[in-house]
Amino acid sequence: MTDFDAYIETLVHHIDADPVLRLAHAVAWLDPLWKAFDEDEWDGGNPDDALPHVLHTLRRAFPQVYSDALVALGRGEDVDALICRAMQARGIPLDDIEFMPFGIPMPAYGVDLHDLDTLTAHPELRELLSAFDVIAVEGVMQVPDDAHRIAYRLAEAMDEADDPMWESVATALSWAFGFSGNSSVAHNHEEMCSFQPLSWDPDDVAFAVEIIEEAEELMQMAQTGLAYLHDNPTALDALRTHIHTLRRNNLKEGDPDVRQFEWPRPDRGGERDADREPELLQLRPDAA
Amino acid sequence: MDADGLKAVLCGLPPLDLKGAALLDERETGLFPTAVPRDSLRGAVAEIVAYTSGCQMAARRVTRLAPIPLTVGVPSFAL
Repeated sequence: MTDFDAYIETLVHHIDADPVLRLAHAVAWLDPLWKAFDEDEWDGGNPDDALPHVLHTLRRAFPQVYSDALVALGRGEDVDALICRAMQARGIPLDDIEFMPFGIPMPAYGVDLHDLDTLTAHPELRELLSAFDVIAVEGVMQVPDDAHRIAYRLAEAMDEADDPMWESVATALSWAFGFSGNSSVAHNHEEMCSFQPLSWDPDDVAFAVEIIEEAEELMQMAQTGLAYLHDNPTALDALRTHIHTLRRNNLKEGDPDVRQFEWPRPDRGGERDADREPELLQLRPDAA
Repeated sequence: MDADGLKAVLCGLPPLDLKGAALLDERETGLFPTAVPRDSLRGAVAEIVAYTSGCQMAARRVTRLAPIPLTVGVPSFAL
């Protein structure tokens, strides 16, 4: 043991003999950022300064991640990646810790029907939107004035159809036309950036996780509904018929009772050829 | 009771049995232990963060205590 080691041992021996110093010893080891953080001193424009702010946020909201981050820092490991992984494991889509001081990042699945890129970014929406005559004409998206109203009425009727597939289609409508009631599903990234983000206070974190989990569930349902329409021409035809009925009747005497609409159940006869059982396909005589 | 009296009372409280202080006993050499299981460390950090926050909140409350005169010879003062 060197003189320096002996000096450390003597120092620790004396520290541990005093309850207050022993507590300070534990705090220095386990909670070095115990002193309150002054956010006014944080330079939000410099991403390199984000780490102290992030560590204080973790200390307040996620002490266990704070603990892991301190260990990683002590070992010289990649603490940024560790923090992002920990947040993603909690459902929060954090890709870079420099965004963390601004509030809780939220996913933004919303679509802008007037944006031509929507059809490129979400080709799975083409069939559904074209049923409402939401189409691109000469490089400009055309959205009929009554499209949102009809979509809302039909989604209400589908929810009452007591069929999981049509409920999924209703969810797809609520996503495409922005009436899901979930911020992450209803708004696109640009719109989300215009809102004040939720803070990292525990109540806000719990609220954000609730929104995110619901959004993931709704998006999964919406994709199921779109796949159902794609795979079942009968269902898509029924949807087109009901849209036409609502559009035609509304011009005359207001909406008909959508509860009277019929929603076809999954029917193998209505599936696209590619999904039929092979033995049902008509083979060409010269196929062999 | 004056400020020094209050300080004496607070300093006279028995030390709290914190997980982090117990983990310090596992130290072999150096200032801090090095081979502590991650879960134990997480638990100790969470506890000491909560304890520190509680102490800071208590300290803020103590600094805002309004003085209460006990030797004023006017009985109606309290009213």
